[in-house]
Amino acid sequence: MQSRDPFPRRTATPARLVPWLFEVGRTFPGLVRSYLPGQTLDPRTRERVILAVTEVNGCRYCAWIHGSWQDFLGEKGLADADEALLTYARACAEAGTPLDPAPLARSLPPEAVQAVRATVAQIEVSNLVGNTVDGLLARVTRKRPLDPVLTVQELAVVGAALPLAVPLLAAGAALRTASRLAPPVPQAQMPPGGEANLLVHLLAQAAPILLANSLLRLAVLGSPVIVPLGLKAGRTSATVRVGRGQIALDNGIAPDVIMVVEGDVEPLLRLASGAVLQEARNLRIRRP
Amino acid sequence: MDLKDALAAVVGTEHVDPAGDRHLQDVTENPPGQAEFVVRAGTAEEVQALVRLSHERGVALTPVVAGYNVAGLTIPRAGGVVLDLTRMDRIVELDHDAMYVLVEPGVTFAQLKAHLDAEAPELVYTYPFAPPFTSVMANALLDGLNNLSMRHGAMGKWVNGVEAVLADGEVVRTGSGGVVDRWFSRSPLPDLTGLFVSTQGTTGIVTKIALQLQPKPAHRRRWLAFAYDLGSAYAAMRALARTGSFDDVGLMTWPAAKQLFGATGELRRADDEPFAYLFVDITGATPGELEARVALGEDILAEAGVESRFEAEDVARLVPGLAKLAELPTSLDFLLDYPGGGLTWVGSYGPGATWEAGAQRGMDLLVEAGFPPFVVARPMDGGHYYVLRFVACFDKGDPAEVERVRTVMGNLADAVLDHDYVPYKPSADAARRILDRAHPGFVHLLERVRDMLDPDRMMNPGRW
Repeated sequence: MQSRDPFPRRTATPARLVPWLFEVGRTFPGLVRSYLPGQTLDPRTRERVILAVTEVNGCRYCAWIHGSWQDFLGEKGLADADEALLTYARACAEAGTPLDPAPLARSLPPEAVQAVRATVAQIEVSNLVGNTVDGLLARVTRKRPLDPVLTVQELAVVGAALPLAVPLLAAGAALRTASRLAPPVPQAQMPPGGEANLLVHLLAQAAPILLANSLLRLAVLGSPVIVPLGLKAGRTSATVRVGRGQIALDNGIAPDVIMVVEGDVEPLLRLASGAVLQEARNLRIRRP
Repeated sequence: MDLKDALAAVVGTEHVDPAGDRHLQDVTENPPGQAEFVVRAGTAEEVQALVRLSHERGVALTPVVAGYNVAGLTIPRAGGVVLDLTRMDRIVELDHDAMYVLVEPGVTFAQLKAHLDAEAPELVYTYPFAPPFTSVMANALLDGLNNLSMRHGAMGKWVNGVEAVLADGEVVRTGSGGVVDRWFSRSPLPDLTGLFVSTQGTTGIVTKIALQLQPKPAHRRRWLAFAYDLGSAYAAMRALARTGSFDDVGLMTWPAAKQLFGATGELRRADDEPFAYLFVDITGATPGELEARVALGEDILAEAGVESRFEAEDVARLVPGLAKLAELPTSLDFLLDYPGGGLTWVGSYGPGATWEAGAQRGMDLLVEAGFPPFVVARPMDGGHYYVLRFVACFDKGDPAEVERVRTVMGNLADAVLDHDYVPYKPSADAARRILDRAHPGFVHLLERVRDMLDPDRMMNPGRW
């Protein structure tokens, strides 16, 4: 009688990998789209889905890489639709096989559903491979039986994944470093009392979201000089001064701004909330 | 037996307390009142016994529910007993086919929403910009306005019938529920339900109320839009309401938006800022229906000269704290937490023809009194009439400011009446101003009704 494998996590075996590899194949366009600009799945949501699956599977390498990615992107509020995605992702991970995406289709368009399925499938494969590394280490350290056939099989999996895993780990390290170096978002300085116009109020409240990305914080707040920018949304305008770890806001366009971004309110809002490439064409940048 | 023991004999000693501040004042400028006891009834039978007791002893009875009151409507003005109905919080019946719910007085908006979400996700009630812990029944009986009132009218219209205890302790029922065991409509009977709507508890204590529900559309969008003057704001509201295609169109002037973002004290409007913010709720049973309404809305706003329409969702993504405003019921913290704790308004319903002039006059009065021109408006009942509400936040601890608020609220009540608007949920002061201008026959009929139902004026005295 074969003794029970004491390793508690699922590792990559053909039986476990095949359904997920098929799912990756079926949803591959969605996978590509989820990493492209103008994506159907917001990067923060994508990382939440990935971490939800990873939490179920217990892969520490994926948790480290994607935790770094999530920290780099910064936190935003959780929408109701996101909760449905996470529930679906966790259910798939617990089942160990792709599940019927019908519950998602009630709240998401087909392209987004495909992107979610692809994201779940690709991280499932990654989790299985990551766990296989730990499984192999457990065999080497004799915490697990050193079965020759299974060991060779696991070595093959790890060897095949190595060319992709190493750059991903390096990227994780870079993202983590950027997050640590990026200064925190300061309280915006505003005009006194009730004088600030609504655009100034909006910018002040939205600053933590606008500057959630660590690289952006590094570039903008870490600037050694204070940069004055003009912003005109509809008829209302504001001047933003950023740099040296500070944000200062004022009504109107100051004479010293280096450029003015102007457009209708809707494209500006969408631009600010992440849809950069889709909305940039609806905006104008002019010299003051 | 003294009064306290007699009350305790009905509800138990644990439900009788000396009246404290919470029951003797509210957030408005109306002065505190006096009462001996607060008694918390748990059943309609207990209400009946308490009303009989009050009637026999000639003790005034002031009903209160859910504990958050406006316009001084539940401040006891003649001593006696405050009858707290908060414990009566059962949702008695939910009829999926006839689309109504029968609830007790203490049922809150949050409770009803949670119940419908769980038991009837295909149906929806209508919610105000009032805290989730406030009473569904009080809002309906006081003829308030909610987020489906543009389409379906003020809340009194949503009442299918009531069960009430009259001043002498008799239990009555109105609407279809008064005849058969279903509360589907007020028709086709003599409309006795109206005796309990907007009468502010002076005609009886309602112990059950049947309220209409509406089908819940599967698809929804919410817009915000900027209007730069009264004319374009009114043109947009008027046109949107008349199509019957939109769930809600509301307006708030710029001080509301600034306070929403945390501004307090002396507010100033910058030259390039919008005058008002319109919010438009659009729903559809199918994506196609929603799209058609969206296209119609875009055309109407453009024609009315309303600029800069955008999705509320995009704003909420940038400022997550604002997301809760799209999901009613919700607390408007910027009003409830305003420094000084005072909040009051004159709200009124009236004709579209005088909306612009009435709005301008009211804003002028607020500014003259040193308050920002904070106006809330909405078309009602398909555009048959409109809301004009003037809001002031103030410091309750500053007697001079309280007096200033009291004066301007009185002036505002007169101003809206001058423009053929009628205050809803009127304070005692506003009610007096209404009756001063009313047709003598109206005043006489109201008196005759009250003489018949409460000749001793023991039910919520000081009102009307």
